[in-house]
Amino acid sequence: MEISFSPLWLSLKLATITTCILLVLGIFIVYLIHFKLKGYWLVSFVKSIVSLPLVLPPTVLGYYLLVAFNPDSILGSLFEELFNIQLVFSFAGILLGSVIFSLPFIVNPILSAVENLPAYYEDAAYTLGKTQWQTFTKVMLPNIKSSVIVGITMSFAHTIGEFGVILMIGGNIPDETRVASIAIYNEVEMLNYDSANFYSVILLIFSLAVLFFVNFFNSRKNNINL
Amino acid sequence: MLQFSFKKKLHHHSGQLQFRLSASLPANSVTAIMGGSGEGKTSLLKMFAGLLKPDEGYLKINDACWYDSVKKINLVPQKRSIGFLFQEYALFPNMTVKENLTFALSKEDRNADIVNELLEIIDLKALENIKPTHLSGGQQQRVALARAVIRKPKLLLLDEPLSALDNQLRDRLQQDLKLLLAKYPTTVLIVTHDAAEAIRLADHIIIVDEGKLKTFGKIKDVLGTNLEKNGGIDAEVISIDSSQNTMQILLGDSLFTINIPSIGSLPEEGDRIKINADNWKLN
Repeated sequence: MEISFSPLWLSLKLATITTCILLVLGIFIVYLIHFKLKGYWLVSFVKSIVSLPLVLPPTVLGYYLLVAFNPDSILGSLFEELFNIQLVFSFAGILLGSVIFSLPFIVNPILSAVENLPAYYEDAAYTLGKTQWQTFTKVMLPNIKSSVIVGITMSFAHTIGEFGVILMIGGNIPDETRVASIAIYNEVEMLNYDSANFYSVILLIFSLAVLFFVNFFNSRKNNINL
Repeated sequence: MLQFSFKKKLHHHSGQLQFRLSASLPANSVTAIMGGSGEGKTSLLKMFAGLLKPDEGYLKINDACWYDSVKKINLVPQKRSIGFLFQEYALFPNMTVKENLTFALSKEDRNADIVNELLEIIDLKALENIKPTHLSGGQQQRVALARAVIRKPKLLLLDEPLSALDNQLRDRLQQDLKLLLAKYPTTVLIVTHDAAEAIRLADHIIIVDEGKLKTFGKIKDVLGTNLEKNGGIDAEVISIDSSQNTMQILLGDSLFTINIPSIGSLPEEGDRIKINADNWKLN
């Protein structure tokens, strides 16, 4: 049995970069929703868009992303002209797809923690002359650290396990888009059950470990010494 | 001079309350705002702070206008020179005592002198590196008070500052507040439902009833008049000892034993009575 470690490294690389982008993007979106859009109907719209990947079949999202990433489309041609990057069937494409697909896993826990913080922290910071951004970064985020960590972990794990969207927009190109979940599918198709089993066991152990960590962390959340 | 007039429809547990209040208060005065619960007292403080927008009215402090519904002026809390002591203290749990105070200062003012000076006044220098969750309620209250005055605000807003404290801590906070106000004089508004708290801390009083101004004046005049009208101080009879001719009464939080007066009808346990002093001596 000859096993390539490339799908595992690719999954790790994809999940790491996706999570880094999501951390910045997720925090910015939470700031936008909580401070700039509060009270407007747009809040419900933005929240719905962010949560859409939770309910949409991955093939539907994958199909629309495939159409949007097409070199003839506005987004596809823009990426090609500006960065000389082709989005369809490329690592850049599955990265962008993963960011969109895993967005709710980082935004929702952070947003819900921000909304559950007592309003007097925010009010107190304003009366001390602090701006909304200072209040958010210096007062609110440090007090919901545990939710940020849960968000990071969940979006990392979810990206590792993503299959449908990646297959739709990335296909099955070795060293480019064949991540671990795609490799399992590929090995089964080729009747290489030993290899499929190897990748599956690793993903199973990894997913279990992540869920255990999140649950353990959540149960200790109230006792964490900030 | 603090001049204000606020009109605001508030949502109340028993329906809507049309809040309408205006007054002029002398500069550097300490005014207690009293009224029952649900009278919109905390909402009133939030209107001063800019955390809640009135429907109509104005707010002027000295010559500066912070809010005017006609001129469409409404300064955000950050632009108003205020200190706010929240009922829940609102100390930031991620910062130590010292960091809570330093954070309140702008970068250019962030010298250690005022922080150390305040820590010494509230007597918490030894606990400066402790996070607020490890402090007692009274200590947290003192840190919150120091944080509220550290920017030397033109208006200091205190929401029920003594209500959660026991007698000993009340005396301590009262003493700290007096020291702080002597050092950094400012106009102070204290919301309370407790007459004793008002008498201890304030020189003027506003009594709010059903969202409207009922009484405004110097505290001694207003509460003194009430005492005369009431004909004494309310107390409750707890027990009667006929053999000793004494009874135990509950006055505020304290239990006293007094002689049963020889004139008038004999009270029963559980009766509410009025006490008038006809004899006293100085300790």
